[in-house]
Amino acid sequence: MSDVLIRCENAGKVFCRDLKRSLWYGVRDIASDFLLKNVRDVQLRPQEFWANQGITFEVRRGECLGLIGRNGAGKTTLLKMLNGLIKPDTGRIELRGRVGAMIALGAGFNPILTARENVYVNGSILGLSKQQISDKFDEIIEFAELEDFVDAPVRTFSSGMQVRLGFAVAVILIQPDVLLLDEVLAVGDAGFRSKCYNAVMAMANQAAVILVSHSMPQIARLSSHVLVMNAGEVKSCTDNVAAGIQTYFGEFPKTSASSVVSRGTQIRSIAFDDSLPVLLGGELTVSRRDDVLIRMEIELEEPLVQMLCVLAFIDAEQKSVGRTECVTAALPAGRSTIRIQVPQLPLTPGNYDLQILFSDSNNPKRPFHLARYDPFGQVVVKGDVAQYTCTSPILFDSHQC
Amino acid sequence: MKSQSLSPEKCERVSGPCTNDVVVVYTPDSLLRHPGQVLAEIFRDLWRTRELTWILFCRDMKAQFRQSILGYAWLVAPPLVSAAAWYLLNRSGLMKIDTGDQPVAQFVVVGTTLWSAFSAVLMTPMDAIENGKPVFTKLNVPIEAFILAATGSVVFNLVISSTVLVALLLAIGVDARITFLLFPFAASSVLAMGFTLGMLLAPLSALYADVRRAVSAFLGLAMFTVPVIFQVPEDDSGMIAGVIGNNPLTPAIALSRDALLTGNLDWLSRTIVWLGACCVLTLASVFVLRIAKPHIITRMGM
Repeated sequence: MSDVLIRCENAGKVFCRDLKRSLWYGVRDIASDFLLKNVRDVQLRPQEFWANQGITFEVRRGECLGLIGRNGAGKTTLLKMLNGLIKPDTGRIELRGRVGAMIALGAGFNPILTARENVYVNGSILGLSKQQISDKFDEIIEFAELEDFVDAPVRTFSSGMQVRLGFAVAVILIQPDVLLLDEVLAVGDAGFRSKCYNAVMAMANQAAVILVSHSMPQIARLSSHVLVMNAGEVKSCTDNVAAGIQTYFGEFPKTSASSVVSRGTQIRSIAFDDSLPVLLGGELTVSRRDDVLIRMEIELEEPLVQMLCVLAFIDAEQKSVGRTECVTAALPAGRSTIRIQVPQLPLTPGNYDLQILFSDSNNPKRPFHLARYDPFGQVVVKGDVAQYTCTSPILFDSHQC
Repeated sequence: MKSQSLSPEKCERVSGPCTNDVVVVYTPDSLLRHPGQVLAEIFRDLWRTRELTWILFCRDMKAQFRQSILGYAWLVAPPLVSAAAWYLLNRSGLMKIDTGDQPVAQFVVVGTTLWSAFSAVLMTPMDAIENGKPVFTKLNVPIEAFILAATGSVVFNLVISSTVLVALLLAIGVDARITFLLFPFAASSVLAMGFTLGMLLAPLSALYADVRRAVSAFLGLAMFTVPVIFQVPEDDSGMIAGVIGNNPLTPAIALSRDALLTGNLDWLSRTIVWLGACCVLTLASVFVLRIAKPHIITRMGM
């Protein structure tokens, strides 16, 4: 296939944990390059480990490979090899066409110089000629929305303005065949971010893209396939993006101990729709975009005038991605059932912790916490990942029955 | 399609439907397997990044004194102050400086001007790599451009301080002579030697901080192995005299001074020989830096 722009075959890289040794190995590696020693049969020396091992993939024009993995999984190392900053210790990397990277925005900015001067420095570092920069100069400043500050020193800029300028230079000037994106898809405030996003997309459409991100919605939306890395190795490389994301989330240890605080109120069981009720620490399954009826079996020591129930869905990154609140009518002492209707559960397929908080809301200004389950159990949302679009925490309506 | 990718480690053109595409291949093989290719790339990159070098040079120039009132005066001050110190030491009789038949003041001021330029240019490649770390570890840019730009600043500084120096010499009554025209060549040779030494040390210095510390620590001592504040001893039997006589830097410094003060060209041939050696060594050092670059960046961390 002639349109394969990135081909990575069995690429591997060894790093050293110990700084002093690392430096010495560096000297030795340089020396062996000069002695034309054959590629050292990669035997790990003391304190060395594989930062990347056996990485193989291809990316064609128009495709986007989402590179995901936990911190330290070797994503940045791989990007650096692709960018030609460091040499692979094994394998072979082949890139076709111009390589551009949205990494280190604003490289070479000197805070004492003006925005105008810095645009030229930065653009030049990105490999463009003075003429090319001049041609697009106005476009850059317009994109960064810094028309009034063109001749002010960059150090008088807020950090947001600086990063906007750096982003604008990169996004307007580089027109790559191979595009490397490391977390920077968008910068600045909300309005600016969507503009960034569109600009990056325009750039990405014509290129073979590698995107490193910890934001799974972003990965799901942009990637045509994903490569999940774990401890330097490819754990999964698939064009089933949803499955890849699942693999990634699977790496996080499930919260085993749930912290339960309870004052005279406890949940005996929870059921979704007509499923069997599960007890503390259990697992509930639901399809995305289904209307869900949550039934909670609770037990109170004393009657309550009204109770506030807060249910939160916590994703693998410990972010609350969905939350519903409702206030019950008067509850008697002893057992009773609370039913909460959640229409079209708008959650990305994946695993979530279900966090539950009960408060006595008789005095709404000073609610008294009755019980807190952190979490009560796991919720598995099933479904096709391709369609969803939600990225931010949602507060969905609930109807109490 | 033309490649914009900077300093690919190995370029090969492949046949096939897209013959215009430039393919970059990274493998663990030593780049030295294709020394001709590396050499061609060095020169191609030097040409291709001439604008980058110029823009970086301008950046450093503009930034250097923007936050300063006296500005370029600071280029002239250090060698003058240093010369004044030696002059005063000599006058007070604390130290006897042997300057031959030359007045101490003018003898010393030429020497210290050249020496401070030499010290600066020696540190330049190492400092440029250190300062550029945040860029080099993230973007694929030619390190040589950053080094050249920084060296450009030193050259510029020397031009300014030499101009002031010559004006000063004329003011204190030194006769203008035709050999003044040789001074730029001789002074450039001094810089070339510092640059070569700095470039040779740069790859190691990028790994070990010891190198820069050692260089700055020994620069003070090294000053006495070249005729900066005294003349080359006539009698070359002693150890010190031997060191000074054989120091590659001695001819260039002595020639620079003679060009301004005496018009004596005895050191010219030796300066040319050493300058030739410098050119070869500099090319070699660029080569070494090329080969070492990915290894250096590997060890620089994220």
